[in-house]
Parts: sequence; structure tokens; C-alpha cells
Amino acid sequence: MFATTCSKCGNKFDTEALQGLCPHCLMRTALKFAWEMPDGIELQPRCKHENPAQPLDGPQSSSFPKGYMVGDYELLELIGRGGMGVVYKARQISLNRIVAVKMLLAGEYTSPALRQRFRAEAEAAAGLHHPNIVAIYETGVSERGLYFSMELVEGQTLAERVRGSPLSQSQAARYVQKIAVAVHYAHQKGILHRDIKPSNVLISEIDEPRITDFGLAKRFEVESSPLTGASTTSSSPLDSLSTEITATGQMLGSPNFLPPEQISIRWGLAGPWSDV
Amino acid sequence: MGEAKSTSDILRSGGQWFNTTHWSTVLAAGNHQLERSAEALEKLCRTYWYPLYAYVRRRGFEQHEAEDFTQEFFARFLAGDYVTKAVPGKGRFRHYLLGALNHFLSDAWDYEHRQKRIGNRQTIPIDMHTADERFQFEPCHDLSPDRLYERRWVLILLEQVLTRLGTEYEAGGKARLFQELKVFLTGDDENASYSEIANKLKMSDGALRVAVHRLRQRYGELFRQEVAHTVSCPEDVIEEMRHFLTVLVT
Repeated sequence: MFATTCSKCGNKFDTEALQGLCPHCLMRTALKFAWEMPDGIELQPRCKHENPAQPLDGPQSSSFPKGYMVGDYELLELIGRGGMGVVYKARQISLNRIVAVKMLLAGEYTSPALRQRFRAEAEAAAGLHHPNIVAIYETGVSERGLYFSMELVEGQTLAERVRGSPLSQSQAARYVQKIAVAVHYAHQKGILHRDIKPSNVLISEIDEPRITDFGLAKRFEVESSPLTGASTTSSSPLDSLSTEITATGQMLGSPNFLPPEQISIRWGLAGPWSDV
Repeated sequence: MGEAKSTSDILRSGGQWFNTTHWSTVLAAGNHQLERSAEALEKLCRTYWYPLYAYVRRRGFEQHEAEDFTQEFFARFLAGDYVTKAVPGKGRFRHYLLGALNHFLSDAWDYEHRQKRIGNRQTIPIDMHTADERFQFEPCHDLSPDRLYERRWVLILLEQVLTRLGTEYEAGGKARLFQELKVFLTGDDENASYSEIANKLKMSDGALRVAVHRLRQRYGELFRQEVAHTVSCPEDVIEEMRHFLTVLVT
């Protein structure tokens, strides 16, 4: 028996078995292709329910083992948890690249409002293409719930970066300038972030700030003044998201970083100035 | 892509093979029609005996005890001793077999009595001469008996399907194609260039990629069929396959 480590998945295997092929990679192929029929009919792998997006019975674990498949993605490592779901480092099989996958777990404890918020986050961020905003690649539905894939930013959050050792003035000014330009870009596209805070800014390995987590994002209309041509905004939402969610009395946003209008009865007056 | 259908729809309506999958046949036959299910059960046992043997050995039994216990267990299993009993895990043959074995091993003190009972009962052709040789090569000695059993189960499945796929290609006069392309069954390989292999096989790059895709597709399909033989309903197939992926992580 000759053991070796697979260069693709990192698992050990016996080269004398399976005609020298890695069993884990072989299993992954079987799982990926098991549902494609030669005549073009694609089987829907159903697991006890007709609609895979329906909540499964019972509480769902929020952890997945290494190698778990979600759509085209093989989960590798849990890298974060948030109020809406969990984030994994993953490999996209078809393009053989490393990405991040955020999953909202299906379950009887997942409300329609939460699912809608999750979708809204993906939609909001997907339309933004800026070097200082984390890019969204695609969204999907798996057996375990909604997910979307995004660019993986290796590094740390701004919150972690400043913990214990403050930034120099020039460093802080550089970050603020880049984040401000990115936020302005989002506003130009009609997207409010509504949860700008240090833990939602990632600092990449090349020391670039990247805004992430558009979980509370909201669309607004950008209008031009007929007299001056300057842009103004109206905060009447194009989506029903905020209306539906706040109707239940939910507090949205991180308390320490919320502007006054987002924590008072003037909630409806939140706009680009709130992000600033 | 064509119309999407549920696994259950296709496999229940058009897939006659699924309606006669081995384990579902055994369960459907129950305790009054053992003759019907005997062949199906025998096929399953013949395929999956080694994971049980490895389990018994990992439980701490010596080689000669493990050999005897394995043979005796299968003799009883094929005689229907456990199929009719209320052993948990009937949905999946993998669980059921292990549950039945644990029932059997709980009476392991009655060793001498068991020796006398083997008698003329039906057994399966277990190659005990190589069984322990194989066991000695088991890696990861920190694997629990259950974990070892599951890992061996999946490896046997993967091996079965690979062999079956190779045999299919050989029967179709494509043995060389299979040998050259099987490396792509584990994904794209940086050491295996599509262009080089296409030249070797005198195919275009595009044709080779199609051939690779078909090979992968067929592997997936065959694997699904093999797993289906060991579960009682179509819905369990993908859960079983996803579970296997986690079992193979080292």
C-alpha cells in the first residue's frame, strides 16, 4: 500500500487502489454528475421534500463537513458567521477557483423575511463592480437553503486590524478615502449599505479595504434636479424589503454604528447621508 | 438542457431497475418470500462482506475469530435470521447490515456453540485467505470500527463502479480511451493535458472534452445506480452520496 496526498483535495489515499485515483475526488465527480442523464434530462435530487428550498424538518446544523457540496462549490472551511448565515471558503469546481460561499440555512427557524433579506443582499451587491467592494458571483438554492458565492478576500476585518494597535493617520486617511469612494459609487448605483462598520470592511493581503455584507442594503432612486443637474435622492424604497421587515419591529443595523435617523421614528428618512 | 424531473418521478416510473433494486427487493419480500429475495441478498452480501470483516477485526477480535464470526453471521443473515427482525436502519442496507452484525456480536461469547451451528447453511464465497492481508494494510489506525466500516464501504462502491465502467468501455471497443481518460474522473489534472491526449488518440480537442464529459456522466450515473441498490427509497440516494463524501475526508 502506497499512501500519497491528493494535490487537488489534500486527502491521503492508497495509490494501489482505485487504479491510482483519489477516492475523494472520484466521489466528488460521482456526486456532481450523478444527476445528469445522457439524454439531457436533469434529475432534481430531492431529499424527502418536493422543493429543495423548503425548510427541512427540525433544526439544522450550521456546520458542514469539509468536502460538502453546495451546487458547484465544495466547502473547505468555515470562515465566518453572521446573523443571516455562515460563510465558507470553497472551491468552485467548474472554474477550479477558490471563492467564499455564504449560506442561509433552510429550516423551520428561517423566516421568509430572513430569506428575502438574504436574496436582497446578493442582488444589491451583484450589481456593484468596484475594486473596493467585494464582488458577488452567483446565487443558488441547495438542499440546505439559499446561498451565494463571492470573491474571497484573504486578510482581516478593519475591526480586527485596529484592535490593540491604532492605525497611523495616513493609513486611516487612505482607508477612509477609498471606502468613501466605494460607498459613493454604490450610492450612484442607487444602493444604500446601511451597515457600514469596521467589521464589514475587509483589509486584503495587499492592504486594500473591501466593503462587504450588504445584508441591510436598500435601493433608492437617484434623481437629477431639472434646474442644476445635481443628484438628489428620494428614500421611497423600490423594494418592499424594509417595509416588511421593520413592520415586525425588528431593529436593523449594528447599534454602535447606527446614525440617528435609523434608530428613530425617522427611519424612513435614511439615505446616502446615513452611510456617511 | 431538457426538462427537469424529480429523481423519484423518473426512477419510479421508467426505471425498472430501481423497482427491483436489491435492498428494496429484500425489504419488500419480507419474511414470507425469502426465496425471492435470496438472490438479491446474496449479491449484496458478496459485495460488502469485507467492510464487516474489517469492522470485526477493528473491534478487537483476533483473525481466526473474525473469520468465523463473519462466516457465521452471513450464514444466519442469508437464512433470514435478521431480515425479519426489528433491527433499526432498514432504510439503508449499510446501516442494517452493521446493526445486524452488532446483534450477532453481542452473543459472541457463545463461540463454541456457533461453531457447531455453521453446518450446512448457505454461505457466501469470502476469501478469508486474503481478508486479513487486506486488513493489515488498513491505514489510519485511529479510525473507529464504525468509521473504518463506512470508509471501506464507500471504497468498495467506488471500485465496483470504476470496474463496471471500464468493462463497459472495453465491451464497446474503447478500452484504450478509458485508460487514457480515467484520470479525468477526478477532475482536470495539471499533469494531463487535453491536447496531448487528444493527439495521442488522434482526436480533436473538442471531441476529447466531450468524451471526458460523457465518461464522468456515465460514472455518476453508474454510481447512483449502485447506491440505489442499497437504499429503500430514491430520496435516500443523494443523502447517502453526500455522506460518503464526508466519510472519505482524511
